[in-house]
Amino acid sequence: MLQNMGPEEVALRAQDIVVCMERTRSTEYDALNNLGLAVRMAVHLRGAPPVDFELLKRVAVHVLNFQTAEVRPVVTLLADAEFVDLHTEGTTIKSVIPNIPFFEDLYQNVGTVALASPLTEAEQLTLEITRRLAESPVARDSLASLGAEARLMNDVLEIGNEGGFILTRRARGRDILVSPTYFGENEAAYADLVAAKGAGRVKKVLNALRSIQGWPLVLIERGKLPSGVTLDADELAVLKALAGDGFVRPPAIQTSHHGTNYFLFGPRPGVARLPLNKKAVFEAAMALVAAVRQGQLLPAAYAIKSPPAILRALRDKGFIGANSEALEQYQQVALLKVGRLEKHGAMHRFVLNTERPENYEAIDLALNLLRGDEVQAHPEEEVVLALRKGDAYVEALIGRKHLVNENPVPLNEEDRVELETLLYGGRT
Amino acid sequence: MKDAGQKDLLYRHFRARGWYALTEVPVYNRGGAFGNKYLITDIDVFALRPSSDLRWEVVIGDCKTKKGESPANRVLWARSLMDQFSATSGIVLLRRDPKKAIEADHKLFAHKLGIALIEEPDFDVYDRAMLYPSGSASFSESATTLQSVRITLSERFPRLAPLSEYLNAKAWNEPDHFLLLRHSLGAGQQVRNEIDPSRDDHMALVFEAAGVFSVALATCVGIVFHQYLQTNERQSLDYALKTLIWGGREQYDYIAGLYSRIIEAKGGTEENKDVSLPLWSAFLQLVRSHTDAPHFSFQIPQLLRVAALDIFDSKPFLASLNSPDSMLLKLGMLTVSYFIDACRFPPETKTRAKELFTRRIASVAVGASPIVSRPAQSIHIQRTTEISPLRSVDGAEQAAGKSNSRPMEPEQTALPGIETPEPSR
Repeated sequence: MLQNMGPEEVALRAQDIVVCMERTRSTEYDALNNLGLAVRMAVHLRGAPPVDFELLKRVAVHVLNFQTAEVRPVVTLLADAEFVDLHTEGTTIKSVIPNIPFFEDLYQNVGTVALASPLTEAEQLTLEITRRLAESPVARDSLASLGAEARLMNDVLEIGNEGGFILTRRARGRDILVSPTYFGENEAAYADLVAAKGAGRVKKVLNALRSIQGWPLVLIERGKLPSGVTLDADELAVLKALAGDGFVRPPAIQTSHHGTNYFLFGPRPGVARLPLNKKAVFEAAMALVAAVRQGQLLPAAYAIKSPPAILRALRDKGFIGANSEALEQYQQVALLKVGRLEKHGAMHRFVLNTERPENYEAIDLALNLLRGDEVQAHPEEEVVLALRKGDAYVEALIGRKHLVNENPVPLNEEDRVELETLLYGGRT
Repeated sequence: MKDAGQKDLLYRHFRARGWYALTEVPVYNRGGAFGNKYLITDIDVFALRPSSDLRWEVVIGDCKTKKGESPANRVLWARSLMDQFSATSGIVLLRRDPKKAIEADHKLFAHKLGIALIEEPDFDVYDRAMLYPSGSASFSESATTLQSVRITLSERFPRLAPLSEYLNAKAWNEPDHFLLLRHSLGAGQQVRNEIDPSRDDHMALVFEAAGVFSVALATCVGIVFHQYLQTNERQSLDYALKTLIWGGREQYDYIAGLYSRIIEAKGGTEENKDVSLPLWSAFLQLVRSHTDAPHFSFQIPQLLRVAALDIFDSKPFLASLNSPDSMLLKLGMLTVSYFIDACRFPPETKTRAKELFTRRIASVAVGASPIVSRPAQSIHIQRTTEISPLRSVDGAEQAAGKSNSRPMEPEQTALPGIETPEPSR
């Protein structure tokens, strides 16, 4: 059932599933669960000092949503993948010494070790559905093509809905399945788009958009896309719709020579990939991409040949050389405190604010977007700190988590409309 | 060892200040016509001091027991050695006739040249002032034991001489630390078939050699950190390090091209044509790990020195260190592991080294309690929701794809006997 899904992708999807499920567990998942949790732990252990096993267990259980009995098998899996060294006394693990690779594929390595044990049919089906949903929302009835037994399909979809890694949205009379990991915002709008235009068309458009992140809307409207990206009229209409009502307004740059230009981006990653405290960093990354795309595709005079080279220069040298268009090009970026504009005669240069480490993160994310790569999972900062600071910090963190969990979940759009219908029903 | 007492005093002082130190480092003409053939002089005590901006600063220590020695001449001698090694400062320790104390103006003259000019009887005062309040007299390391590891061992095991000779003579006459980085690995590889990991003295030499390698590694880390901070882009780090290690991109491309042609001529495979350091991916991982805490990189050589001497003297491993940071120990372990792998020492060498480190790390890992009984901690109840798909009697209804809301199984708590609360989802 897993069609051409390598260990890397399996590990990636498994991680997305367990993050969405939080404290929920399914009796159908065993190896999938362990794999997802192993990746989650590895992401947080990267660069960490040696940690006492009991402390790691407490952080894992109370902050990363592990169950107590899951910690040891996950740590053992990481040791088998040679991502950690363990100090043991007999069979008791005393401390964990992380050595998580920075450059090798974390997902590939963990996935390869974990898949030594075969996955059940339910796990395979779950992964296959999750993979499809990563590319585009799909109509529920289209999943029949997977060839799975109806009962199994229903079970998996039920687990997905209850576990939170599949959202079911009703649109134009059809059940549309959406992944909150990949379509973290505007899931209702995406569901409606798929119901109207078809999942295949939306998938093709989103795949194209991933390779041309930050492309100006004005060029899309004129059908001017890079070579290798061909979209027919209907598909172009879908692309334009992504800048319309129901979707988050794309970043814009106001210029004196070309008016206001909007720059289109693919769906923003959900909380599973991008913690809430990294949203501002992602916004800054999009602003950077929009700025270099402006220079690349809609310059007043001289076009940028290589947007990635400009961003790398900003990161490595700390500034972008003075030019006549910088004031308009980087104004939004400056407003987001990524840097400042300095006057140089009649021109301006953009200087990076090196005192904010998140600005370097934003540049790396922007380079990611230009390459068309998926946003990798970011560790939660408080977990990273907890693993470095020890008991006192962990206790405070656990206490805070319990307080935060008391907050009520706000109504989503669909529930709000239902409630309004109930309230106003029958009024003339 | 001549002037042994004074050298030992200075060595202990430098080591107690947290510097990496060596005694009797020979001086050759670097880049000369005859290589290291003709000894010029030697430095009595040579030290590397970590600076706050992630660099090494060289400190030269000169010792003289001859009572008639001219202090000013000795200062000028030390100054020329400092220039040769681009040293930041120096200490000249002289034994004088009590009736002929060093002139205050000579001391001032020395100070202007970056040198502390001290009479032997006054050294104790200097030592206690700089290492307030007790000085370095009780510091456990001695230069004599170090000499046993570095020199005497190769007299008993002559086939270890290439490594010993490099560590004692050639290493500190390299023009830069990038040559030190490459050549220390080369020297280790030369003796890979001679290392016996079951012998403590051999393990001590391995740790000492890894310490020399880690001096150069720290220099790389300091530069790369200032360039990229903590990059997760392999390409950037790869490019930066190759450029550094080979003295520039042009140099690297030239040498890589030559090497590639040699390998091709010898019928080698594509993988063997890469002229970067052995286990290049592991080296990138090592450097990147160091950039998480770069100031520790400049303590690794000192750490590995203590480790080497503890193994040699059969003392508890790193027991003399008072609550070392677990990150420092982790980076030390990774450095030694890489060095052993890159030099292709027997696998048991790495196993033994890692065992020693992991045992020591266990007592200082973040969250580790030094006492058996833990203080009372708040007990946190873990709540989970378990999902099992519930099947209706009518399977057809399910196949139609109607969305049903189904009751969930009750929440499980970590402690039995506690009343199950209402489901929150």
